[in-house]
Amino acid sequence: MKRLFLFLFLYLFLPKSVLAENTPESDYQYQLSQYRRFYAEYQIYKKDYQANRTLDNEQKALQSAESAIIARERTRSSFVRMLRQSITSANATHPLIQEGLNRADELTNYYLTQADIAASIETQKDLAEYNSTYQLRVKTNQTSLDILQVINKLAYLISFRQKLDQQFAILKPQIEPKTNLALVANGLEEIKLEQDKIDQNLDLITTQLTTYADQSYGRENAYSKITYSLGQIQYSERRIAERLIDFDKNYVDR
Amino acid sequence: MIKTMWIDKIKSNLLNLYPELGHFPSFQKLPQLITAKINPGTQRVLRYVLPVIALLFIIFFGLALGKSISNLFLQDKISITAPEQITKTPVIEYQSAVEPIKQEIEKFSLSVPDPVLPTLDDNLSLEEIKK
Repeated sequence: MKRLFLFLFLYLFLPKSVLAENTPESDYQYQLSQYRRFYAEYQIYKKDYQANRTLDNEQKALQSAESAIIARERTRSSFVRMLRQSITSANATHPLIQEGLNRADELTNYYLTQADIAASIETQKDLAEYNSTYQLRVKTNQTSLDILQVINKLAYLISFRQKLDQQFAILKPQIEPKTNLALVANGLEEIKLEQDKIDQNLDLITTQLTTYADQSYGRENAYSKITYSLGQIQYSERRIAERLIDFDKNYVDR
Repeated sequence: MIKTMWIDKIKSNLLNLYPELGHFPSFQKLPQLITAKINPGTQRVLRYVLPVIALLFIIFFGLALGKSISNLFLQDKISITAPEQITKTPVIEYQSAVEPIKQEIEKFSLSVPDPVLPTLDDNLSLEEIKK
């Protein structure tokens, strides 16, 4: 009974922040603030150590570098989790999205593992070894992160396409008897054409992402090419939406 | 007889106030009448105030007369009632279910990276990094 009262007391009077849900975004904000704090400490201790190379200063600098690395890896891990959540909340289905989610899981695990490994840094030699191993994966990880960013955008565009397809499926039976009207026939043809264009651009983006993952061309170049293809999809979707609105308003009997 | 006495009284009082009136013949042949005893200060004030009062009286009298004459010729006032307010028949515009999707598409930003991860130091060492 006493425990029940204690629980009720804590539930009612504890600050809301303590009970707040730990979302990927709030976790990311927290980890980033931790990283900034430890990184500032690291810079101070490093300066002290370089000015006065005592054992004590070295230990302090090592300790702060370790804390900053752990916070950095956790920040990256929570950032990827945040992106993953954004992709899943789009509620879209496409092979690229599943690939993106797998990539996100892989990256999250990698960064968490790196945080665990960093916790065992004790000497300058450990730190140097950790850095050299870490550097080997920096570029690959950045590529994965870039691909995730594109897939995040793509997930929303695919979800728009799916919503438009649903609306088209509802309107189509009501429109089809009126295909003798030139405007209706042209509109249906245009929708089909734009749908094909979207499929073509999705295929193109899949190829562009594969090429990008192979590091065949630079980041900026890749981004501009992929963004162009995303823009084409967005344009086609807007055209389809306009056509559907026209059908809905002018050619559906109510 | 009484009427003539009143007129003479007024005339003699006026002559007392305005001696200049003695030039007119009707004021020259006045019988010797007793005039009101007014002290010189009041007399001086009356000398100037009386013409002003007379002038105002004439103006107001003239205006009142003019108004009463004009009322004889003017028609009754016409009262205009306020026009009835016209309420428009509400036109309910059909809102397509595709509209919100279209708005979502138009608002969607394609800029990448979004969100942006701030630059994090990938090489935390205790030595100066040689560039």
